[in-house]
Amino acid sequence: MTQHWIDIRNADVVMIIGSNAAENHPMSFKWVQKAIDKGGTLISVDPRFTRSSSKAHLFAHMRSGTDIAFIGGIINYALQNNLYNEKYVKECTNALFKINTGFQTCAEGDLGVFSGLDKTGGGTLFGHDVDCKYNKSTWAYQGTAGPPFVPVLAADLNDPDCAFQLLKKQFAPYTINQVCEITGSDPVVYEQICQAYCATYPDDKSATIMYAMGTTQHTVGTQNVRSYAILQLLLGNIGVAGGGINALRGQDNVQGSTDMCILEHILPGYIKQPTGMDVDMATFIANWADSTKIIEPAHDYTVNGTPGTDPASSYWWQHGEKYMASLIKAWWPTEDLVTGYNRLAKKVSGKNYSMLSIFDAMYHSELNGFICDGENPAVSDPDSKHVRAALRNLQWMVVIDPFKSETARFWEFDVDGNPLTTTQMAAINTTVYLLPAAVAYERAGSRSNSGRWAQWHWKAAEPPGVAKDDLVIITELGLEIQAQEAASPGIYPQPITNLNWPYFSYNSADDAQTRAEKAAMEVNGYYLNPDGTIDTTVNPSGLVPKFTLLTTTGTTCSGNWLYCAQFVDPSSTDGFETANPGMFAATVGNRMARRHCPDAPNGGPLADPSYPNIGLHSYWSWCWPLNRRIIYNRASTYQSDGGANGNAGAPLAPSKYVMRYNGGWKGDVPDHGAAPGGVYPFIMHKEGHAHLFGPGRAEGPFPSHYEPIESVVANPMGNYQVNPIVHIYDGAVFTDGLAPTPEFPIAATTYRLTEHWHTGSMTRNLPWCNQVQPEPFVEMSEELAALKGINNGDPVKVSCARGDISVKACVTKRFKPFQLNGQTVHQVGVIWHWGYATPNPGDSGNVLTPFVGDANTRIQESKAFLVNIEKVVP
Amino acid sequence: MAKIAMMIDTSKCIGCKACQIACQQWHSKPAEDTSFTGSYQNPEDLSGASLNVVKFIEVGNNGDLRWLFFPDRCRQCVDPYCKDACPLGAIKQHRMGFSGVNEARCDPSKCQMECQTACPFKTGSPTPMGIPRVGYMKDGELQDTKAQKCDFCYDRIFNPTLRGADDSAGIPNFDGEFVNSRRPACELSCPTGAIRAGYAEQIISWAKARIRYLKNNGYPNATGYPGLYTHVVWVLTEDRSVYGL
Repeated sequence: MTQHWIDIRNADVVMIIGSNAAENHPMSFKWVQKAIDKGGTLISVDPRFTRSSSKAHLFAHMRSGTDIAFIGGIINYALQNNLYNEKYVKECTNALFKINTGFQTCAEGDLGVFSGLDKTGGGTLFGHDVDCKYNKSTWAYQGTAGPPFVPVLAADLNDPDCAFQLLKKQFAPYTINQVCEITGSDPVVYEQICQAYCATYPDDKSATIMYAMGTTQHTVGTQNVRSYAILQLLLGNIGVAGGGINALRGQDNVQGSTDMCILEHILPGYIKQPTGMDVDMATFIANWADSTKIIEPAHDYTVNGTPGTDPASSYWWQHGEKYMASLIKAWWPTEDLVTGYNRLAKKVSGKNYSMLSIFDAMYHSELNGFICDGENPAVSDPDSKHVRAALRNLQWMVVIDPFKSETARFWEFDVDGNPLTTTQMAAINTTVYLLPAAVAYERAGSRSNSGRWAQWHWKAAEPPGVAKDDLVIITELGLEIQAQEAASPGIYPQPITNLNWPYFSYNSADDAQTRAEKAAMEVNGYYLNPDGTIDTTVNPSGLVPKFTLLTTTGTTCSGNWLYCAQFVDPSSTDGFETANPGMFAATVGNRMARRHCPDAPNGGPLADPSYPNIGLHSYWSWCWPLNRRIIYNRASTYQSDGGANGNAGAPLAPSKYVMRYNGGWKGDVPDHGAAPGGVYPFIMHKEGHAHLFGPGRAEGPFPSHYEPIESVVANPMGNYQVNPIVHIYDGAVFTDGLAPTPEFPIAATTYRLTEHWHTGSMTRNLPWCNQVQPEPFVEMSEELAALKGINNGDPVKVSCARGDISVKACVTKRFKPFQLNGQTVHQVGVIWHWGYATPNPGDSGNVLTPFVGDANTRIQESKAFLVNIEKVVP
Repeated sequence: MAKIAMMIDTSKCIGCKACQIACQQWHSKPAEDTSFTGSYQNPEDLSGASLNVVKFIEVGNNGDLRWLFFPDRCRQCVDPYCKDACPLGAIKQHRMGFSGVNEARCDPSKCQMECQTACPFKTGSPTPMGIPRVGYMKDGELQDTKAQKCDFCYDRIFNPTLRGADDSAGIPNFDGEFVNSRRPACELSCPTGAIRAGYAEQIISWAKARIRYLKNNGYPNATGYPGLYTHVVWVLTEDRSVYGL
């Protein structure tokens, strides 16, 4: 989230797309409801009418996998009708940046792809190009040869080379009629949605987008999110109260685990994961600066901390080396930085380590062992039968979970979930270790919610039996590995034996609270002496007060720079904190434990009595970065004189301002403290401007509609059926929806229910939850049910190229067949909470989902695929 | 003593069933046997184990489609028919207005469930029956219970071991009010604030204001239910007949 949950109440329009927030994030509806009660409009976009839709003013049916078309049409509507915030677009985005004249959008040349598509080394899937790459040389700004590189800016938005005009060209084909022929939406409703949403382009209006896995789990998932970002930027809705693009995290603490590097391509704090090509720190920093995460090397006009030609570009990643050095010192404080860097494990350059690739490697017996901590891939991962088969190729697996999940018990069942005989079980050679874990309420520590708030929590109960706190399990595992490595050293033992592992010893008398605090303080970071001990000369605890004080020289450590300032020495607290010690529910200095409720902007409630009640709650817990509740918040103010509306630094929306400048910033913690106009608001980009034109993505600087890998609809937007950059794994099974034998003609998607939790291993073991949703089911329209002779509640079989599941039918008016240019497409929805390991067993919808992922992130395409459905005759 | 009441605003209800399970949990009722029969509604009706069941109603079609949620439970009559009808005197009315079953006195084997027959609010299908229910199915067997219905969580709202509104040691919520745990379980569990309990005058005035607001903001048929003779009132977004009431 660029915002936080409470900020949803400040929106004039809330669009829920790729999410069923009422179902999966019921608490969010507290704030959606408050927005509605203040006169706000709720828009729900979904393949079916959902619990969220039931409260919406406007609801559009949208076929799964057509988000880019749906949002592209709204972008086009805004551009064609001049419903965009011109001043914001010019000053805060790269709209005026001129692009290389060789660049072509999808609407010209080879229709459906951008300039530079390289099919060498690519392949085809049922005749469609896949596994291609782009030569991005034309996806570049015009500018002087560097360094320092100086980009060329257009005089106005009419310049044909500027990013704004190219955006207009890219989306011109996305007319209302064309969009509705792709998405299946009612054109009348769709136009009403365009009008309602684009009406938030004036300065004082804002709209928010709430999205989740319905957006991301597609082969174009990243570009789906990009389309939201572009729309929000055009309307001036980023950085303002009630705006933003808001990823609703699907698991408790997913935000925290992402921040802490659960993803394969990053280290804690979104530092790039080094590869073998990064032979030393200097090379790593140079390659990082050049990598597409930042942008093309030619744009490097702020080089390694030396500002180039534009001092207004603060470009925050220029400090990356400080964060990397401090991370290395957190892990190997006794070593110098050169040695410490060498201790880091490196990825093989060009190799993918995503979940799909891990299971692909496992399937091909390239992995020996697997630690599965709080995850249940036998239910949650695509093509579950493939995943369950892959687990058999392991020599060992450790499962850390409160319950014996489907993954823990895979060896008791065949891949379809039928029990095996003892002889059959004996043939599986994987040794499985189950480490029973405590649940959240049996541990202390911090959890980061979707709004980036790190909230401390206290232990409420002892774990049952021999179950242990995860922190204890991981710490003791680390101690044991260190001891064994010291006793019988391997080829390169030092990364393990020298690793800083100070949390506690075996059977430590420390309570859960103390243990978690030790870890939290190390994540925050310390000042260090040259020998790696904590330097207490600056303050008694040696804690670094904020990440701007981290260094490149090894004098500081920080386990995650983004979380630096979460746990500080009492002497580092601000005036308001010092004056109100009662708001510290636990240790003074643990900002995550703060529980001061009245709406207080930074500096306290008395600092500015005129401050509007926008729900910042700055002294409730703590959020990264530096307790900034709304990121890119400089964009909520005028960058230059706004004429009658206000001076530079005055808020765009005075009635719900995030911050304002009057000799100093008042309100939220500003995203850089420079005076108005002194720094561009999008500080994470080198050029300081948000990307309408975003060359970092694999399949284009703009989104373009491609059909899901499995689809019965021919893509009308050009010559390419599917995203040509998608990687196809060997042995992954697909249906060609356009093939002459229409074996699997029905579009399908998957989703969850309020009544169950994720893979269900917690809720299916809970009788009350089982009682309110006892069985898996497939939802379908009355029209499809009539066609197939299925009655509501009948047992049915849902099948696809990868397998089939037996579930009950839910026949409902909430699903409708899509009419697409004369073609009728039926869609169904499958629940995936179920498995074979608990009372009320059932089949997971993920038995059906394809083993293919997004071209950038490899997140699975579980929201759009093809099935057939038939009534089970007893 | 002032009477208390509860308002259930279906315009804010998202059908999450949190109130349904919170009610079962606070009243220590077990899960009963269910199966999927074609609706999100489960269990299908009130029972000796389920004192509060969210009913799911689909009406209209296409652009006019609505999905309505109705948390169904005892209406808490001002003059409870069930109390008057019970031959064992097992239904007790509190001086604040609500009523509950005194399980020590209740014995369905010694009566004809007069409480259920007398109840003016018959719900469920195919044979609608009065709110107080006995028995539920567990592992395929019918389990005996005393008569069961909403008791307004009297053992929460008068429970000194729970945190009260005047407890300054409490943690204020985001609206600056102190968290008050002495409230019905359903109200505390509701994520959207659709359920509010309080003094009857306040609740009735909130309900009337809400109905007026909804009538002018997209719900021209918004109405109250059942009327002025109960301590639980629903704000409905459609005419009561649409809910089958």
